[in-house]
Amino acid sequence: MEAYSLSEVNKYIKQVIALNFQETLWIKAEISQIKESRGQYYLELVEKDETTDEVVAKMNAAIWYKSYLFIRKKLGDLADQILQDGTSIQCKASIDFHEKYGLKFTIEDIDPSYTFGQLELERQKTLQKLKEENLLEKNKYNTSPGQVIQRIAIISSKTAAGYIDFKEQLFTNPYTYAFETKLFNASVQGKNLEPEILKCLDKVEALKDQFDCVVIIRGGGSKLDLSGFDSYEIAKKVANFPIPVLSGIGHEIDNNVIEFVVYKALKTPTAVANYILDHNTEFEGSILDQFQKIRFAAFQNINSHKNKITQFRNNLKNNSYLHLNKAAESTKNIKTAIVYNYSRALSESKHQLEKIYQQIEYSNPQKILDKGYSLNYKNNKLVSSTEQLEIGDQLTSHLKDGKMTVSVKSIEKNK
Amino acid sequence: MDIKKISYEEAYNELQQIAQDLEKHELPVDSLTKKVERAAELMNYCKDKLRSIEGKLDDLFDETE
Repeated sequence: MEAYSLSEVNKYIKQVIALNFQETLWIKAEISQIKESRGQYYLELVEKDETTDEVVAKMNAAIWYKSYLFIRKKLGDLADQILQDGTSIQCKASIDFHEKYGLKFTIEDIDPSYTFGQLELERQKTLQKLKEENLLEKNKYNTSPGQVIQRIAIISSKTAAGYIDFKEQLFTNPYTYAFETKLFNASVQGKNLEPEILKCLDKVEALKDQFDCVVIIRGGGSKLDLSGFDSYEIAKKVANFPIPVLSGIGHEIDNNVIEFVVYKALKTPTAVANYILDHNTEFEGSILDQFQKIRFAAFQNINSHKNKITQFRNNLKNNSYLHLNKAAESTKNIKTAIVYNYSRALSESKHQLEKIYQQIEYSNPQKILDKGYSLNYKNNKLVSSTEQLEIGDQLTSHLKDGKMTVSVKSIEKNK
Repeated sequence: MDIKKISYEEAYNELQQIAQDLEKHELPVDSLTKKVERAAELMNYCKDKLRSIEGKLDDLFDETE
């Protein structure tokens, strides 16, 4: 039986591979592990079953220093963001078999659009899942920050520019509102983002009564840099969070999954601070409004009291005048009555006097004398009856224009 | 109620109630004065509370991980 040495076999394999893979290939795979050593990158590429997540293919790959420099030049910072555990990549690689080191892909180029596409696909899947589980607006509708936001849990990185911006904006506010903040330090990029943010959320949840809301903030970053915020686990946690979660993690809204589940998504940390300030000024405005209303209503109340008093006074005045006038009127009437009665009485007595006078006039003896009668006096007593007379009496008889002495010669009585 | 223990919500609700009372009824002058005084107290309390914090968590106690 003829046997081959290992090197002979490996040389043969090398020839077969080299003949069949003369040109480079574009390969889609996920980086399951990546290590850097002296500027060279060693990767383990895998392909997973979409439903079971089980590894169905695996291959080692390397990026030599020269290729890395090329990729770095082409993609900038993105290169390092793509070359991370867990990233799906599409890379241009040559396939070599080395007698000693075995089969290996040598990566010469990377297509970032594939990575973005995969991220987007993943993002859409996560969003769909959250939607199906009714988690998308749960935090928005199930929590409320109350009338005023003053006690704020901040999940961010202590050194992140966004965190500093946020505090600056919040604490130097023109309304001089006071705030309490507590930082929960977490990575806001890279592979530690998910576990660290979840851990912080757990801590805040345990202290939920001490906070009006929690804000998750970081400065702007590239799309890939922020992809940690597409995490389903973070989104689920945020959706179910007992207090409102505000986010300010990028310069565009609706980029990341987390922004679909928070109470309010804002573009930047500064915008989050402004949102909180607006929330509080709105409250203060509303209490000032209420007070204005109260003041107005109080003035109206007082005016109404005043009006009543004025009305009362006017009534009192008017009634007094009315009474006075009545009194005056009646006094006048009395006077008129007195005058009337007086003059009537006067004319009546005048009339009576005249009557008496006339009667007197009538009974004036002179009148009788004028008519030719005479009046006879005996011893200065008027003689009106024969009974007073005796024969021989001397009488003084008064005529209209003089008197005479008369002697009684005879007396003859009427029968 | 002791104003020191009032929350913003309670203060706001009480203000709203006072406003309603005043708009609806014509109150006797004495209770009117009392209500307006209470309203001013509530308003000033909220304004002060917005600008001062009792407990100081602040970043003194920030975790340094």
